[in-house]
Amino acid sequence: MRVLIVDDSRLARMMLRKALPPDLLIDVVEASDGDEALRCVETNQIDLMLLDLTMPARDGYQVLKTLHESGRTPPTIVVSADAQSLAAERVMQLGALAFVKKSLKPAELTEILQRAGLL
Amino acid sequence: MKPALLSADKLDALRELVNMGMGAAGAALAQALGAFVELTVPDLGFTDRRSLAGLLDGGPWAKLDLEAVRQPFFGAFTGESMMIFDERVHAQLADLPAYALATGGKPTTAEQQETLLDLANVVIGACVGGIAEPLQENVSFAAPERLGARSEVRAYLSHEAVAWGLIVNVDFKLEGRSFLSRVLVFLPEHSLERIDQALTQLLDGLAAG
Repeated sequence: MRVLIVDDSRLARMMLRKALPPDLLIDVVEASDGDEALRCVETNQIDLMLLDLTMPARDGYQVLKTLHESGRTPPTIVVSADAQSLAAERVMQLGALAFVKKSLKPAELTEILQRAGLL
Repeated sequence: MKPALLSADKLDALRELVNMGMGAAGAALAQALGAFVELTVPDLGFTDRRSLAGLLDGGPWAKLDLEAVRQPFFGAFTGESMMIFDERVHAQLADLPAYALATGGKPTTAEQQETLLDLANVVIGACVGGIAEPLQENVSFAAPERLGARSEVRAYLSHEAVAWGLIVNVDFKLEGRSFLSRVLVFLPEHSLERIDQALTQLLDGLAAG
């Protein structure tokens, strides 16, 4: 499984790596901004994207919107500090699989992946 | 100029902790005001405290009158925080149904000022708490205090002695409202030593798995 982790913070990317199921064979690709994320999706087969919302320049909403419009959204879990219910509604409308608040716990991620049939 | 007081990795980690705190603040504000809060990436940089007034001299802030609330904090680390609003805040908050309901549609000046104190209390608490809690540090807050208009803010900031430290700067916006609001948190050098140690533990813990 190839997982794309998109977050402008190195700490957040480290924490998301830690949350991935350890018994799964996972190839992790990282992007530190929205533009890099879009390039990664264009050039790689991404099986799961963990996406932050608040990023400089192109934010998570814009990444989702661009992918949604092109019909190329990989299975995406938005992992954000922004816990507003409207933020969750908006990302789900843009094709996200789930919306979870930082910090994402390993058990929480496993449950979402199982529910989505990705595990 | 003094060298950076935190490494690039630790500055990144601190920015993320603030970001998480501000996310919680945004959710609390959204619930209280019934409006969507647009969050920005926190901006962190090392500076002399006396230069903070300059942050209000550029861009859209330069031409607007403002109101500010200050709230010092102390405990495991100490610092100063301030939330600044431009003059349009009262009129634009009054339009929000949740706010109008709470104030009967015509808030008095005292109610308007109390609202800003409450907003600042929530946002500053979340921002500073966002740093302290993951680092397992305890911080207490003084009561928020109204500073008044631009001249009073400038006088307050300029009055202080030279102090090097870290400034955290976060802009908030309510969707569909144009008034500006900004949170400034100043962490002096001695506080950063404590934060540096706590960040080392946090990052070492993550690296060790």
